[in-house]
Amino acid sequence: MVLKKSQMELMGLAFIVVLIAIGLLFLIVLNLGKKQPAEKQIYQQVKIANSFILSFLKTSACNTSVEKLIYDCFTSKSITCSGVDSCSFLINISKIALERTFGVWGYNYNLSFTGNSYRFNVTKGFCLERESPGLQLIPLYPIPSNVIVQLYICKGSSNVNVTFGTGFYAPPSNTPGTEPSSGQS
Amino acid sequence: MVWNNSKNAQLQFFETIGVLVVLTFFVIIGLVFYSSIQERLSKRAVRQEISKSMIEYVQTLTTNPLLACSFETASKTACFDFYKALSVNATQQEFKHYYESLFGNALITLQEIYPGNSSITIFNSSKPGMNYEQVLVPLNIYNPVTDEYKLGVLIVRRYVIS
Repeated sequence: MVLKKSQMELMGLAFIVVLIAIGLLFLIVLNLGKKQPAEKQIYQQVKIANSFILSFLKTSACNTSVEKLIYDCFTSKSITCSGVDSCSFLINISKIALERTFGVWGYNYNLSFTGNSYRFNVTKGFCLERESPGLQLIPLYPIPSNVIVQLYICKGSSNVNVTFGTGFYAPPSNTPGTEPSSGQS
Repeated sequence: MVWNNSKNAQLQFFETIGVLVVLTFFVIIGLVFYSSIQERLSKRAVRQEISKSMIEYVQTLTTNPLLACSFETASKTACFDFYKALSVNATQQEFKHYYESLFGNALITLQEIYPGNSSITIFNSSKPGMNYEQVLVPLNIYNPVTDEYKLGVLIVRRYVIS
């Protein structure tokens, strides 16, 4: 009777050890199955936002460059393009550029221009994790201030409705291409 | 007595066989898991190698003097000269072997984003049915005649043997 009891206990122990071993094996297999971001994807996420901002700032628009439009928007607002001021024109071309790139590629984005007590942004969708921001500073010399151009991108759904927001900057009511911020969609 | 000994021996024999069968079963399961893990590890290593080489390829391409903008000072952004791109496109057949040695098996397209939306296929040696890696690079398309910069995207699709 005692012999049978000890045999049963040993069997039980062996059974538990086998279960733990199988469980560990499953854990290892599942961990290896997780997709880790390939270096190419990391390169894309880190570089693409910066590349976009740098290229966008250099782009010619309205017989000048986007960088100069930003400067004008945050200083004298003397440039007029297609009947609208530089800030409205800037929002329009930002919308077009972002939608034709990140919008088509299935990314959500938040491009913001902040400086000199003004801030406005162009957004699509909602980024839960603020990954890979692109960042550029534009000096407003001789005004001792800078404009911070920031671009956050994150993977989104192509079915997300486009929302565009404006911050402190309040454009005239008849300016095309600007809508009140409607937050997350 | 002999009959009992024989029965005991037979029982022990079957017990041993049973243990061996169970052990073999566990060894087989272990081998299956091990080979599955090894296969995933090697596939991941291959993917990482392909990604690394793709990054190098794109960086070399965006600084290639055949296509890159020509300035006295170094440019911060990736910039392609519009007329150089057109020229490479126009001479693809004439210098096919040279371009293939330079670009390999790839499809390189320059897509204008703003203000227009035209596109130029700079180089095309696509192989149908092959897997590929694709990278998108925002850049400027410079027109030296009008001294204007357009916003564009370089779409690089490199075909790989998987």
